[in-house]
This record gives sequence, C-alpha cells and structure tokens, in this order.
Amino acid sequence: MAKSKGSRLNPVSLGIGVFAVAALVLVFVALGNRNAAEPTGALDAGLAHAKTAVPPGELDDYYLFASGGHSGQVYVYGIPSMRRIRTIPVFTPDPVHGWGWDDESREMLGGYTWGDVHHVRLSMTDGEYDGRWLFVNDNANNRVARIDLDTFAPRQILGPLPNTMGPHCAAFITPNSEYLFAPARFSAPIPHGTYASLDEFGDVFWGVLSAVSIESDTGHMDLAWQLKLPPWNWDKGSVGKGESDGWGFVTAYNTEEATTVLEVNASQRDKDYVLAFNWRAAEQAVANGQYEIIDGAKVLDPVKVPGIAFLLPAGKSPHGVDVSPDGRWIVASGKLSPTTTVFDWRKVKEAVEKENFQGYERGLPILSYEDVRVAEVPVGLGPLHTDFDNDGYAYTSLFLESAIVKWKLGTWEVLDKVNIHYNTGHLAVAGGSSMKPYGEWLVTLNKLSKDRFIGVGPSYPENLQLINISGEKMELVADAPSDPEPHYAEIIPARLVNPLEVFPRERNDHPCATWSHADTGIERNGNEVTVRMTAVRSRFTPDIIEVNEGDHVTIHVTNIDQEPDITHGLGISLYDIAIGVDPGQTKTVSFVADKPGVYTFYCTDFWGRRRGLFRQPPPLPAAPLRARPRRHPQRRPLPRPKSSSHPTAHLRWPRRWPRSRTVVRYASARECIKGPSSSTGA
Amino acid sequence: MTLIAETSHNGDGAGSDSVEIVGEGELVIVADGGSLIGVTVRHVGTLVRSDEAAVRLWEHGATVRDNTIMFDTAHGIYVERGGNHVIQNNVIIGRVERGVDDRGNGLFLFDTEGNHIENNRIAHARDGIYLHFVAMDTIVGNDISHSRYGIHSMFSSDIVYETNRLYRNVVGSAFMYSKHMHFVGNVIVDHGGHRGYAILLKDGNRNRLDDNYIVGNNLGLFFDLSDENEIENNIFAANNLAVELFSSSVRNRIIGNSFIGNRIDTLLHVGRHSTVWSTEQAGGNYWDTYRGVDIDGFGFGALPHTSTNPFGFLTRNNPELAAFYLGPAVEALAWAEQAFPLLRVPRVTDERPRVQPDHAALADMRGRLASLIQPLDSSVYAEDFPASAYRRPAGPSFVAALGLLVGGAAMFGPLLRGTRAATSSKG
Repeated sequence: MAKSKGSRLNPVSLGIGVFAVAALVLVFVALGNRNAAEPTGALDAGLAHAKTAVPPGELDDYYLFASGGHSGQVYVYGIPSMRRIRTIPVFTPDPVHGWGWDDESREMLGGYTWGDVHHVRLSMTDGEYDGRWLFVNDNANNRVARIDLDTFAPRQILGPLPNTMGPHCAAFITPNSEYLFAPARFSAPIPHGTYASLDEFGDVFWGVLSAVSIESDTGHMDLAWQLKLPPWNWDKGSVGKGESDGWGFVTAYNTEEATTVLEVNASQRDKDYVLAFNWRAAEQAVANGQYEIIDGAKVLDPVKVPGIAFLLPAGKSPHGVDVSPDGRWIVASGKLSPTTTVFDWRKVKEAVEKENFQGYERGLPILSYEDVRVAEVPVGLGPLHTDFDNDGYAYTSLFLESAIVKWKLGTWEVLDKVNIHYNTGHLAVAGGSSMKPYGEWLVTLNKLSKDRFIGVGPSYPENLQLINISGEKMELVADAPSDPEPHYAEIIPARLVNPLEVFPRERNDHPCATWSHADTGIERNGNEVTVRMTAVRSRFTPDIIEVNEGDHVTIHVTNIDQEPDITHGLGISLYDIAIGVDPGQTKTVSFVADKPGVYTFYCTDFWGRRRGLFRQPPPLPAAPLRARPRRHPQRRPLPRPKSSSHPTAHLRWPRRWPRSRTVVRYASARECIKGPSSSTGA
Repeated sequence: MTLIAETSHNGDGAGSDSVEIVGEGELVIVADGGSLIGVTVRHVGTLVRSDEAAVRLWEHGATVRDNTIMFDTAHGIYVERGGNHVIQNNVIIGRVERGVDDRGNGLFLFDTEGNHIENNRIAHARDGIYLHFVAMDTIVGNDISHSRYGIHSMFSSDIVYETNRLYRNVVGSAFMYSKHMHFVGNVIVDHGGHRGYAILLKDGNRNRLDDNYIVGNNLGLFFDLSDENEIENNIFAANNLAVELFSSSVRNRIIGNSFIGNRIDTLLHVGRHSTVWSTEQAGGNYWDTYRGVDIDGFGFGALPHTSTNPFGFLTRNNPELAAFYLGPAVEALAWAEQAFPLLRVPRVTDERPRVQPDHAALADMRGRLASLIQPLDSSVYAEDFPASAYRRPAGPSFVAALGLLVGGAAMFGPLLRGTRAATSSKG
C-alpha cells in the first residue's frame, strides 16, 4: 500500500479510507479501555486529561501542599483539577494578605525578607494526617514555621535555630507530631557567629540536627534538643513508623568533608550514609542530663552517648530516604545508580541490638551494608525519591530517565514506567508519607518545563504533573505550571481539612478588637497615637486620621464583617503599608508618621475597590501644607467619622494645616488602630 | 595491606607474577614513570562500597598494561586525580556471583585528564568505566560487558570514545552533564529490559556520535535536555526503539544514519521539536520503512519520509499492543493520519531520505558483531579462567540472529521497495 499523497480519489484509496476510519474507531476504543498509556500523543494526553475535569462549581477531592522554594511561600493546589487555589506566604512578605506589614507578621518574619521552603509536612495523629497543621522549613535562615490549617496562615515561625545551618529536610515529623526534626545541610562552626578557617572543617564545623517539640494542643513549637552530627551534608529525612516508630532516618552526602570545588570533591566516595537515630533514646538521654549547652541549646553528642546514632552505608550521594507505610522498608536511592536500595528495618534493628558493626566513622558505628540491605530494586536510572500507596506499591522518581517508575514492595518487581517532563525531583502520593496512604493520585515536581507552556521569557515556570495511579498502569493526566520552586509536597484528602469560613468573633482575642462604630476612635498619649478602627463593607471608621509629624501611630483594624469571603485590606499610600484583615479578625500596624502631607488610605480588597467613590478620593494635596495654607481647616486632632449620607461628605479640606503635621487620610474604609494608648483605649 | 609501588613492579608479561590483596589493602602506583606490567592482581574483600581499589594510580604518567586484575567489592583500577596514564591490554574482571551493585567499578577515573585507555577487557564490574570530572581522555577499543553501566560519564568533557564494544550491560552508556565528546565507531549491542539504554544523553551538549553500531537494544539513543549534538552515519538496527527524543532537547542533527529492523524507529514526545533530520547537501537518513523511490538517481527518495508508525508511543511501554499496531490497520491509520492529522503526534520528517543503507558499514558491522567476545560463563569466578579465555573470539547465537536480521533487511529492503514502486506507479 503506497502512502503517496495522490490527490485523486480512486477505489483503492477509498477502500483504504474506509478501513482507516474503522481502524481509527478501534484505536479510540482501545485508548478508552486502556488505563495506562504513555501520553506522548496529544490525543492520548487529551483523553487522559479529561479525567482531571472538575466542572465549574464542583470541588476537588484533595489538597496538594507544595513548598514554594525560595519564594518563601507554600502553594496550595486542588487535585485532580490542579487549580492553584492559594499561595500562603510564610517567610516572604506578601501584600496580598498583608503578610509582613502588620505588627504580628512583621515580628514573626524577624527582619528577614525571604526564606527557602524546601519541605512541607502535615501533622499526624497515630501516623495519619490529621489536617491540623502544616510545618515548613526555611533552608536559608534556619527557621521552621507552622501554618494552621483552619486559617491557612502561618501562626508561628521558630528561629533562626541555633547551631543548625541550612535545615534542608526539615520539618519531618513524628507519627504523633511529638517532634519535627531539622538537620543541617550546611555544616558550620558552632555556635553561629564563630569564625573558623576551612582548614578546621573537621574540627569545629558540625552538622547539628535540631529536634523541635510540638505541643499537642496548640502546635506551639520549641527547640527541645539537638544532636551533634558530623559535618556532612544532611540531605533528606523521614521518620520511622509502625515497627520502626521512635527512629528517624537522614541521608548524608559529602562524607568526604570537602570544602572546595564541591561538585567534584563532595562526590568522590563510592558510599555515603543513611543515619538512623533513635529519637526516643535521645530524648531520654537529654532528660538524664547528657548534654552540653551551646548557644542556649541542649546539644547531645551521640559519640559520647552510644545507642542513639548509627550509619547505614548507601550509594554515592543518596537523596531521598523514605519509610514504607508499615515502617518496615526503608528505601534510599543513590543518585547515580540505576537501582534503589531497600533496607529491612528488622535487620537494622537486629544489627543494632547485636552491635554488629563493620566499623566506625567519626565515632558513629556503621552497620554492614549486606546485613541490612534486602534489595536493590532495578527501578531505572537516577532514582531520587520514593513514595507509597495503599496497595503495597512504591513509586520512585527517576531523574536521569525523566520518568516515574512503579514497583512492588516485598517482591521488588518493577511494574510500570511513565515519562515526565522534565527533570523530576520529588514526587508525592496522596497520604504517601503517612501510615495510611490514599493512593489514587501522584504528583511529580519537575524542575524544568522547557516547552510545556506558552513562553514567558527566559525565566521558565516549573511543571507539576499529575499522574493517575488508581489503575494497574500509571497515566499522566495533567500539567500545571508553578512558580519556582516546589521541592516537596504532600497530598491530603480535602475532607480531613476544616478551614474556617470566617474568623469567629469569639475567637478574636485581640485586646484592641473593636466591634461597633461607637467604640472606634483615635486617642493620643504623648506622641503615641492609637486608632481603633472597624472595616466593613464598604467603610473604614474612622475614615480620617490626623496626626503630627513624628507621631508613633498604631492602627488596630477589625473586620467586623462575619460573612465568608469578605476580606478587607488597608493600604496607605506612600507609607508602604498594606495589611489584610479577614472577617472577624483584628490586625495591628504601627509606624512613625514621618512624612508630612496628606495621604490616602483605602481598602485594597474588592469591597473598597468596588465602591470607587469611597476609595477614590478627590485629588488631595500631596505637598506639604504650606503650599496651600488657606485651605486648612481648623485643627481637629481627632476627627470623628462622619455619619453622612454621602460617602464623600467627610472629605473636607482642613482650614489650617500645620506644616509639622502628617495627615493620614483614608479613602473609604475604616480601620482599627492600636497603639501605645491601647491600654487606655480598650 | 597496602603496597606502595614507588617504582615499577613488572612481571614477565605472562601474568605469572601475582599479587594478592586481602581485605582493605591496595596496590598503589605513585606515578612519574612508574609502571605495572604483566602482573596478576587479585583483590579479596568483603565490604561493599569500601571504596578501595585493586590498583590505584596517583600523580602522572604511569603505564599499566598486560595485567589481569580481579576484584570483588573494590574497584579494579582507580585513577585518582593526576593523569596522563596509559592503561592498556588489561583484563579487569569483577566477581560474577555478586550482584551488580555490590561490585566495584572496573575502571574508575576521578578528576583526572589526559589518560589513554586502550584494549582493556572489562566484565562483571559495577560500572565498566566510570568517569567523574574527567577531560581529554582517549578510550579506545575496550570491551565492556556484563556490568551495570558500560560507560558512565558525569561532568566529563572532550573525551574520545572509539571502537569500544559494549554489550549485555544493564545500560550501555550514559552521559550526564558531559559535552564535547567524540563517540565514534563503537558497537553497542544487546541491552534489554526497561533500563536497556544503549546511549543515554542527559544534559549532554555538543557531542558528536558517528559511525556507531547500535544493535539489539531496548532503546538505542535517548535524549533529554541535550542540545546541539551531531548524530551521523550510525546504524540503528533491531532495537525495540531506536531514538527517543524529548522536546526538551533542541537543535540536534541526526542525518546519514540507517534505521533497519527496529520495532519503532523514532519516538518524539509532544512538544516543539527542532531536530534536523536532513539537509539539502548531506541528505537524510536511511529508513527501511520508507516507501518512496529515487527518481533522479542521486540516492535520495523523491518524497519525504515521515515516521510511519504514529502510534509508537502506544507501544513503548506496552509491547503487548504491538501485534495490533504493527498490522495493516497501522498502515491504513498512517495513511489516514497523513490526510487528516488528528492526533498531532510529533513525527520525524526527513525531506531527503536515503534509499540505500550504508552497505559497507553494514558489512563491517556484521564482522564486528561476529568478533564479539563470548560472554563469560556466569557460574565461574573469573579467577578460574586464564586470561586468554576472555580474548577468545566467538559468535554467540544472538549475534548470528542479529546478523541475519540486519543482513536480510539490507538485502531485501531494496527489492521490496522496487515492488512497491511498481505498485504505486500503477496507481
């Protein structure tokens, strides 16, 4: 049958055409029935993509929490639609939520303007996700943070942690959320601030692991104790669960202890290690006083207190170490290998109990590889991370092959492989890090998108790809762009998370919360000016604030709306202030009124903007007063909100305007201000 | 026990002088003219990943030739920094009964340059030759089999690989972050299974791969994130999939190659492709599935070649579907797809396909395949073999089968094409 492109219609080509149509139908049927295909063809991908459809008005089944890398944020996606639902600012100021401008968040940020979120970890009860909190790390500034999943907002940032530098794989968490762990990827002289030459690397540099305790009721984090580990690069971590409960596992590279030309010298050795540490024993040792205080932290040296830390040899530069849901199999992958290694917890435990060591490195006992390893699973080239589903299957991301491979725990059979685009890093199965995986969906966090989206210039988005793992074969079903750079993600059923619709008034414990217009006002105490303000659709009360240049101004804004989705914002022009107030919430912002003149403030959220008349005041003099002396009204230190029928009725020019004074002028909404007079104003 | 050979340690060339190293020892050659010639070195160790070597080279300019090096958990020869060594005619054999991951590397080159590595026989290693930050080496005529990666190159550049033979490893060769290599005249045969890549390029840029014979592998040549490589005059025969291209790889040039008897010639992932499959001057590739005829007699088909199996992607990981997709339905589908491109599957378009494969190369390839060394008997530890056993040429049956297949395709292809041409001229 010639495939010539003859244009004449003849019986032969007609026959071929009929046959082709029939065959095409067959193929469509085959595609429809086939649960897994390499979605390389656009048709195939299109059919697969249909499975992610969540019609308008309907809701996703799962949340995906993805770390936002050096954006300092956390991204929230819905699965299966892969719609990005929310960006939660954590370590980075974000005017969308006023994060970093109000006093509380500004204090939490501690003067840092960015962070590097590598890992997110959901809180667990009995090894299962409980939907209460999300813990994240800041690899750059040695911090960890807790996001409350009722408000989807950070509630605590702990750190910078002493002695720990670059807690890359924090915050992996114990099965009952007793602790999260934060080991150092960048070893440094301790305490921080100590100068040392790199020649002393082996002597004064340490890779300190922080154990952060979590209060079971409130989620409040505290630095409990630290483990003084060798100056290696502690890369990835997981905790034991089930039969391995009480232990934690961390991979290490650069056991060469190289300090220069790291890409060469930190990967010379053929082996590196997985650290197994008994955190219950460490906890006990600390309780027994077996620690020294360094920079205020209780630091335990596992060389001096045996029985706490052991080394498992692993392939060169191992990346992920992941523990199966039942806690028995510990999977670690040497980055360059075409296999992934599985250790048997029972054998590890036995070797530890029998003290069956093949030697020591930096005083830590090394278990024999052949004693504890049960399988080298031929997953493919460049395995990085493994996650698990609820049917005993494991899924490993293959960096070199740009693929995800599915294999079976126990039999170690490799069952299926699907290509991804491009350069997978971590992958997440729903519930995969807990004792109760949900399976169904897998998301691979790809470092590069290359040609997968319409171009946005030379800086490319990353690519999150959704894979359906509910069938025998994996099926790539969706691409979703992401800002740089998700390193890790966890997936939780939406039903386990119970976000607030509004902030209930009774939960607002802010001392300067103001619930009625009558209680609002502006008070002066010396040069401290406190404004107690309400915001409601579509009004700030008070809506004029007049202060003197140099005053310390504190504004407490209470959003007295109690209906869902009515968030207000308060932006003050040229004062570089933007705060966000959810319904029922009170936020405080304080600043020095150091710019004389007249400035608008307005609601940055939808309501103010919509009532343009409120929000768009008539042109105001932005210049110092002396430019328009005649227009100044009589001085009125604490202007009251106008109860006018016309929204702009209050916008009168002052008759007299002292040049030394700053007027912060509002456009529409009202605000709550707190300040030095809060004690008297409450 | 660690032996430091400050000067030369030379045997009689027949391997009768022997050194046994037990446990953690090494034979260390501190070069500057040092040499190790005609010696049998046997390393007996038990610790996996001990990072020791049977022979370790330091500094510059050692000569290591005509030795038989048997190793287990250690590496065979470990070149640690320095360079300009000559490593020639050695037999480097790992312990066969160990799992492939529990052996050391045959030849481990670390942060070194300017070495000349020729005619070594490496088998039963973890990685046959592992290069880590290596530059300007020549690796010629080596024979690597039954290992994990035959050649494993990380961050290495300006390496010449010539006339090496890689067969029956887990992966033939893998090049990551490796550039400016010249990979020429190598034979890569019989890498099966889902990890059976003959050549894997990941972040491999501006390499030249010429005149290689890539036969009987699961996947012949794989590109991801690899740009501006020149792939010319190679023969891809009897592979499950000859070339797989992610659209993350741009501006590669694939011309003058012969694709013969592959189940799927090319698999292009969805995306924007910029690969050059033919030029006006050099022409394109030979495809045994090409249906056109050479009208003007210059050796190129009058019509472009487009990949005839747009459903290759369906069968890459689902070989059981092949029976359906390779039947006449696919012919019809291909026709229909050409007329009504519904599927938008990216396909190869070769504007100037060759109508003849490179017969001289095919003949040469048959000879090269036939001379492949017999695989080692997997039941016996290498030390029980005299070194000569590894050099005995023999033709395993799979090579014969491949030869038949390739030869047949080359012979009958033109005949079949003639028939088709007659048919189409009638229509």
